[in-house]
Amino acid sequence: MEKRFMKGNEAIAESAIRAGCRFFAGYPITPQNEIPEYMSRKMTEAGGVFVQGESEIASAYMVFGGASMGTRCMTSSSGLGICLKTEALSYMAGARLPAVVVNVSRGGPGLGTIQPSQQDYNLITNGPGCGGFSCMVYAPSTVQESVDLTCKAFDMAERDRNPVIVLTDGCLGAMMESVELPMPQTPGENLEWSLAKSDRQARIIKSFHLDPMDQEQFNENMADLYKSWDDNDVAVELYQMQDAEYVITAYGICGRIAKAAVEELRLGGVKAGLLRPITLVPFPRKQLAELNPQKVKKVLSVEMSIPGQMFIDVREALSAEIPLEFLGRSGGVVVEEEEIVSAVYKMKG
Amino acid sequence: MSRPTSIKDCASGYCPGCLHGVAHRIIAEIVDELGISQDMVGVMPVGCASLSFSYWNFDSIHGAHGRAPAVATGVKRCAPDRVVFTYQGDGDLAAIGLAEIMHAANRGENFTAVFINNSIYGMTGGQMAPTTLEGMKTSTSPKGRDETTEGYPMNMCGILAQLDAPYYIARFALNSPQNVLKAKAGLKKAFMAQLEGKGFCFIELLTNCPTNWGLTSLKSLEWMEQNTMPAFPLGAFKDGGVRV
Amino acid sequence: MVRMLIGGFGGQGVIMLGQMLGAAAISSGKNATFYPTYGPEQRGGTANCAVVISDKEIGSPIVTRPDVLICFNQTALEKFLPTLKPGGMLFVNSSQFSKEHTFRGDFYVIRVAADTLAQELGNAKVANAIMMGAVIQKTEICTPEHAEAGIVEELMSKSQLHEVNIKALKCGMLAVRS
Repeated sequence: MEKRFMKGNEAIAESAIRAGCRFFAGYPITPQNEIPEYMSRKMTEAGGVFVQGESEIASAYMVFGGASMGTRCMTSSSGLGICLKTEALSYMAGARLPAVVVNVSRGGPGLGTIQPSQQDYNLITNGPGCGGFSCMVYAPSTVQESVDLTCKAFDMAERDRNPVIVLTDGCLGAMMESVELPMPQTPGENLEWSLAKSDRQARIIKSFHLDPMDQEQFNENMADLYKSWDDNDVAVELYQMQDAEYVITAYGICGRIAKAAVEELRLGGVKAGLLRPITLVPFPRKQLAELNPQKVKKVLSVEMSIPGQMFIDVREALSAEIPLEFLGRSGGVVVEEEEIVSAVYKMKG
Repeated sequence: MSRPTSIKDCASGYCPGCLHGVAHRIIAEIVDELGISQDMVGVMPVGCASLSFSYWNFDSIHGAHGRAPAVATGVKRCAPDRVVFTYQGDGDLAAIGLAEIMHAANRGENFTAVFINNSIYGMTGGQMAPTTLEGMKTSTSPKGRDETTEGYPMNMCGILAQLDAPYYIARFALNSPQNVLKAKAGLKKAFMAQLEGKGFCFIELLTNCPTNWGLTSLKSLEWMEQNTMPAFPLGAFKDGGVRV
Repeated sequence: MVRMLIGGFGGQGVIMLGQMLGAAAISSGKNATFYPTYGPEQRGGTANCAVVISDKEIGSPIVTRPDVLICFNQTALEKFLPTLKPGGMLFVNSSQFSKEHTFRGDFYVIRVAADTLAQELGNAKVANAIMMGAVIQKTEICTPEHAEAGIVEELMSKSQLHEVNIKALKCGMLAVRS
């Protein structure tokens, strides 16, 4: 393991290359520019290809093409660019192609702000594109986790033959932190399904069906896949939860800040705990549903989105007997530890 | 005349008299003649030729409307050992996919772009395309294309030939046996240029749409000669990287 | 935990100083975060950054109430001085202020003539490394050896600059040694 002090965006790019990513196409948009810039320097050194696409759309389709050849591929953007990529995401999901898509999110709607936010939760978790599909969504909360989850995203994308989204934000992307980088992997060949050259019958990569029954069968297969995620792939950090009376739910950058708030609250004698979803899809419904109303007095959902978006999923999962409150910041304002601490004290009464 | 092995032995879903079949056939013949069937990746469009996934006897990818040149870029960059072509109609290439074709051409991507121009959207029922002729009636230009509000037919060969990177850009028509032979020779030249790593080649094929033009097969060929071909002159626009 | 804010004009080495301090803390075995904020201008705007150094896990990388404030110019001082925690430390690039300028409040003031010293060393761009020397000398967030390691890591590809920056680091330490 190699330890470095790295910027979140660059750490994602470096770990992608180490995970065997050999094709990257992207388009400039703040606050993710360090990813394509890093790729333009390092991808060719690794024997891969970097293309600056003419648009977000084209970049995503270049990834579609590269993925068809069995190459580990990535694209990245921020919310408003991800919107444009959703067309290709749908086609990739329909054609069963693996790819990793990074969203370094910023304020919105529209052009919004270039500062960090979590306004893209709904866009990303509710099936980012037409036709009703899902992508697994990883939401790292440290630069180290950005590295680990980016690597894992490639494995999962290939396992499921489905795009995986890594959702970070402008803060995690721009900040530097100590990371341990994984050993470089040699990418596999995916010969069993890809169009990589080999001696075999002709293959077709498509999301198009002439027979409605075929499309329905496809949708049923995908439903089974999504169900298997709920059963096997949920990742969640539970911190100080054994005896927690006041539980904070928060993901991504908010998750780490909430963790510090829990520390602070514990010092003040408050039995606070953190439930931090690491996968947003699949969402840790079970872990939330299991919170015992006899023990947990209240839950606070902390997000950098207004109105609350994850809040809705938390409410749905949580026992109706547990009151849920909301602390949101948006527009590029990063929530402060002190705000969370005060919100819990206020909630406690 | 026997069936090229690069096309499967099946009935096509194209309308009677449609020239897609001829375009497919000459591509398949070239693939057979060059012995590159195992190397081929065809990137197919959205439109009537979406159906082609069950016809080719080599690898194919069916992407989205307008995006084939971006998909082909990813394919060829990741697998330079494959021979790649895109196959797009006029709505696909010249309207929704204008950015993708322009930039793939401008990067000089080493694949062969085949452009099927019949001046109309076929699959969706005969709507106006960027290549619809002035005054031509379609389901969305019922009084005929009015250039004052709908612009002029786009000359894609002429537009792309303004770029420095493309190696070979040429327009052919599939209206007669002689012209089909010329088109095949041009297409073959484009595929061979790709094999030699010369870069981007663009072959426009003028075709028909008897169904949406509301004509018989034979009449549609006459109409092509009288209307389409004068509006879109045949010949090379760039050859060997040089403007003609 | 030490929370630092560094402010100045773009081009004064503010961002690099933050990165070097972070890397130095990492090499000493601590946790550190660095977080930059820029004005919307590509050139000539303000450049600020936050550095958090801790033995424990760090929550927010954003610093709104610094323990240590490092100001390279008047603008940064005006903007951030009100946020400095009572009892905190203010490092000022005194080359940018008149001799008569006083800094009053419930904080320690450490004047470092960073620009002047850098010019004396023959490289105006090492004002940030001089400031770094002053900061590690006064805050003891890491040893000089770890500070050197931080400089080397951040200037990895520019080995011709290692020596002058390490020299500047030592110069900054000396300048504030009482």
